[in-house]
Amino acid sequence: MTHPILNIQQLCKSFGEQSVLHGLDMQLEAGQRIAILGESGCGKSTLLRVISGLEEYNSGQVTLEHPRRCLMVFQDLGLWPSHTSMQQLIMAAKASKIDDAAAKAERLLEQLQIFHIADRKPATLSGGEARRLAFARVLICQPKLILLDEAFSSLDADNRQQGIELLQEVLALSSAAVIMVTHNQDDATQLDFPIFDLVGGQLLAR
Amino acid sequence: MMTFKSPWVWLLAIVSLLCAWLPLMPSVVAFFDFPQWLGTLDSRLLLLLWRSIWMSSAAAIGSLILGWPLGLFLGRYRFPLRSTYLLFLPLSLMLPPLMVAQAWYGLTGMSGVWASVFSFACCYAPLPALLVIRSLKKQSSASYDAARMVSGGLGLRLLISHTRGAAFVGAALCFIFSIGDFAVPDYFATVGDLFHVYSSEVFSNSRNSDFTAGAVSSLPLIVISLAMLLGLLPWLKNQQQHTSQQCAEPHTVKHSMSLSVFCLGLTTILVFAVIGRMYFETGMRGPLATSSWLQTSSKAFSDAFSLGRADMIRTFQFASIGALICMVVAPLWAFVFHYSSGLKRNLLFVLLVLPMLIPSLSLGFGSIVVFNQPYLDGFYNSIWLPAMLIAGRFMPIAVLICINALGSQAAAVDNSAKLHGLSIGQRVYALFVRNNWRACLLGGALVFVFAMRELDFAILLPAANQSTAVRYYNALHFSRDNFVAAFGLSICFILFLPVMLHSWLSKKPS
Repeated sequence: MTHPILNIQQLCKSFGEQSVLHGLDMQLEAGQRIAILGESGCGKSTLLRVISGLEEYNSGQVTLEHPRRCLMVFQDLGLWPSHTSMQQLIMAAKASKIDDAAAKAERLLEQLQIFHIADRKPATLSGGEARRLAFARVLICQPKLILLDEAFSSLDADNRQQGIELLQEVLALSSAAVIMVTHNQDDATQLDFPIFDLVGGQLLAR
Repeated sequence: MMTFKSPWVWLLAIVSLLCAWLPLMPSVVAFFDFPQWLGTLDSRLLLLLWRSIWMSSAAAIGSLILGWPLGLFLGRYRFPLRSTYLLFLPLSLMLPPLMVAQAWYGLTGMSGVWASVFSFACCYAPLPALLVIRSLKKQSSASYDAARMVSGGLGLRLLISHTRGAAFVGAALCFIFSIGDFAVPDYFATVGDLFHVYSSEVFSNSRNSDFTAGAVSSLPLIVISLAMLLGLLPWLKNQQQHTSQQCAEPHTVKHSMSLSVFCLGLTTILVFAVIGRMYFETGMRGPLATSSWLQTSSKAFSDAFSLGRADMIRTFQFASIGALICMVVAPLWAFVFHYSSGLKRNLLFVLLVLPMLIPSLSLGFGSIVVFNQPYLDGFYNSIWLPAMLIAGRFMPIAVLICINALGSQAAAVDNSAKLHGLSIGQRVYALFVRNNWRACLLGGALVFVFAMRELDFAILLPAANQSTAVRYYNALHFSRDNFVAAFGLSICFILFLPVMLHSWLSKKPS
């Protein structure tokens, strides 16, 4: 067994009286890709926020081997409204200390077939283009772990299918581990990810 | 999470220390004399305090009565001249309270306690109105339309409950500004029956060179204002959570002409009557005058520009620098505040708003005590001192606007920046300020406007003596009515010009 890039032990997180994660254990190896399923409000997004460091937790231990290489694609994408696509990629790459940021950004935009939006801001992009840009911004930082928070939940059936194909395309460009949370089992099945259920604040393998 | 390791937090702390906390220190030290001072509290002082509280409460209720309906109608309905009323609404905030008092005295001859209450209500009614309009921009169109479909009455009830928080915050700000103001009650006491308010006591204590007594006697006002502001915190947070993607737009109604007339009436009370009266006063002549009204008025404006030009330029200088400091530092403050919680958040809030709640006189005295040193002579007499005090005192206004903007921004925007490893500086200035430059500019503009109106510490500080507010105050007390009116109108016109230009330039082509 290889060294895990994510190790969670006895993680507990509650909001006031309400306990969301209750003694959760989890390990993820480099390049491993999984899907976490659960009903709305069961703590899926909270788990991702805790892993990424956006949320504090009450007890337990969360160890990330590459904390600065853990990135998330948010449900509403979180694109930076006043920056063009190219500026977003360069800014993200420089913050992650990636050399030759501009050339890599150009190449990535070409690979994801969105080079034509290089000088456009998020407000002028279609939903699909914005989604590709969000993935490109994550990929340019050479992530070791990608967190996908309900990446397709706001899409209708046709767009959802396109979204899944896009994700397959994107993941082919990276060797990063992936944790995808969703409430739709079809997403996980189509991507052929092993499925875990988040029930009662704990992860259960199917 | 922002930590003390970040150089940006250090910048914030240093600027806040220099601009606000250092001048506050002498007052804070004086507060330790409070138990001793409490022993001197007699029935006269208690009566003054009670009078100030009920007067300010009445003014706050008045601002609600005038401002809430105006905000509701302007924010939710379309009717003739709506855009004109919207344009003029901020103007009454730019009018110095003394000018409003002077105009209403001239129009009606009113004086005494209730005249003060009415003037304060008129001065600050735009606060609830503007906050209500802003709150309506965030109302979910689905819930509003659903309520309207059931009945018009239900729609109106929903409007009232949705805007209640905003209206009360506006009224609370009216209360805070009114309770610390001594100039308006002083004016009405001079022209009519003599009466005193608690802030006059603070003023006279401070003028008698007994700094400690002045500072410590202001403590009840500070505590009352602080309690009110702390009470507003949950609402501020609540407002941020209610931001909706699909927001309701203003719509037409059946009785649009009646609405227009109603709003014309309110706008007349708040703005047109005051401006009209002041303009009339620019040409008022004595019984033996030989010149016409127009000649007198022209001469008054000419005098205003020739005598007041240097004051205006100097005030513009320190007000602009103060506003610029706020525009740079307020977004940082907003970030620190946004990412803190619990006791730390409340403590930061107190530190932030204290310079605004403390009487301006105490801040002025404090800065004299701290900065009037032989080795700081150049700085003490330069425009940098008033600029810094302006920034320190009015920073909370800019910060609250930035906090609101930050709360309205999708959380994922900053979260993704944080995960990508962007520095605090990049997140604040390259993302937040760039996305929300209008909010930052609004904060700076409000600081500038309040700086132009600042009288109390301008009287005290030699570096700020040459300012528009001091010249206005002096001229008013020497009964130079033509000059006062012309000078006041000139300042308002200059302040209002950018608002008019902005409104004119941002009109969408139909």
